[in-house]
Amino acid sequence: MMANDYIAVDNVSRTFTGDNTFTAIQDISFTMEKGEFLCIVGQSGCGKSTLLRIMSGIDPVHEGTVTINGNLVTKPDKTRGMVFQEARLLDWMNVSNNVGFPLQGIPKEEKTKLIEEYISLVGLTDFKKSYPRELSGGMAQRVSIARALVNRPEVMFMDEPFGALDYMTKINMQNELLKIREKSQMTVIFVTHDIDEAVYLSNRILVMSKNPGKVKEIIVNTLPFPRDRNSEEFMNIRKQVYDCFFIN
Amino acid sequence: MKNKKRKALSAVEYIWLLIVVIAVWQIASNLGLLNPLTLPSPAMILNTFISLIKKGTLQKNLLISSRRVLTGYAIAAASAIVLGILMGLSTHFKRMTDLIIQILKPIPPISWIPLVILWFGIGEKGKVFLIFIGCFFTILVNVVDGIRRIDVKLIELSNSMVIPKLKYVFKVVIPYAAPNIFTGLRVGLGQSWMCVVAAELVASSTGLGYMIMYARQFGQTDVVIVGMLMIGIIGKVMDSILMLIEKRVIRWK
Repeated sequence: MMANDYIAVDNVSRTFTGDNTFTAIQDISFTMEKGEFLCIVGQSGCGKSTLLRIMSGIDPVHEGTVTINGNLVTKPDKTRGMVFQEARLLDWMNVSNNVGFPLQGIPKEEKTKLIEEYISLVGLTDFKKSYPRELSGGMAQRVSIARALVNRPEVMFMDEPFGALDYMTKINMQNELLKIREKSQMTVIFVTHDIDEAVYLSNRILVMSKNPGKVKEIIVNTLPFPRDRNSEEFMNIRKQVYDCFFIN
Repeated sequence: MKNKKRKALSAVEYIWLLIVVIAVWQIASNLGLLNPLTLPSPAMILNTFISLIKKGTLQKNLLISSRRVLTGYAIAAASAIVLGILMGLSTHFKRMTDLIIQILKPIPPISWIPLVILWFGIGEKGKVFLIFIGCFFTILVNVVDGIRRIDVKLIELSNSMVIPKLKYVFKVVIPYAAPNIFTGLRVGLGQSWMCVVAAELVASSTGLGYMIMYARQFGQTDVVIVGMLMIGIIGKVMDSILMLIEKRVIRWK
């Protein structure tokens, strides 16, 4: 671990106790630079989400340490955003109020401005008065992304955010996410089980193994943006990740 | 056009059984199958109803009973919502209060009467207290249940966004529990009307409950039935009003 690493995950393990005690993840260590886009891929049950929860501070019970910008992560923080697989919108609030929900202690005009800005960033200006039940799955997830962005986090944690969307919507959302990230320069940790998605979005891909969850390999992905999913270079990296899963 | 037809059909569906029951009842009375002393005919009841309104006794008793019911109910609703939210939010607080509530809950309101007379005398307070006892626990149980049902995913979401506790309670927990709170309020309102006769058994000289019990002593079965029906109708009207309010408040469903 180097002192100037932006994010350092050091020997993190998590054991769930109860009727069946099991170790979800074991001895996970890696570091990240500021502005990096890391994808974590692995089969379901390999502890990807557990790792993400620990890194974001939602799950404070673990061994080992996570530091972000030199600070030990022990609880959630406004400088970190979180997007879940389900949009988790508040049904009783319209889009505007959902997006503005995390904002605290800012003057009203500024709040309104921020809300408008992030709603337009995810392309939902025409729907700002709509209620969640009136939105499609893709639109709802856009609202939840805008809500996670509105506090202007330095680090964004995304737990299979596009996992429940249809293929076409998913591809649109991936492109939008890349655009947003280019503007904000935030660091992203993105959990997915979709190898294609990981290669399309990331700078590095962390492949996890199962039982218990460990780091199997970290694959560097330096393809220039915009990426072509059908190019030979893309296929090469895709194959590297694929092989990591299914060979040996 | 089609829509209008459907609406008319739905209205017929809603009231036909009531009309059939009244018609059969009237016919049976006309045929002499029913003893007017034990069950007067609908026409007789309507007559009594009109004459009671002309005399002004029905309106007066209705107003007094409504005031008692609404006062007891309002106090019960307000305290049950506050206590229920606290119990729903804190497992420790719920555990500390649960036993006493579970023991008090099954006691019939009518059995409180001797104590009520000792504590409050024969004034309005005792009657309001009986109504309160009659609906408080139902509302409380529903509120607690609604609050405790909160989706873990929304707790986690609020956690991840570092939402302050009070904002979490008012913007997440209470709206989430609102449908259950309304269920409690509606069932509780019905129960508070159910208690009105018991409440007015205590040294009363006014109210629908008093009117019913007084008429019984003189064998005025028609007055008894008018009083019963009045309670039923006013209860239904108040429930409908509450339902309208619920629809207004819970627009997101």
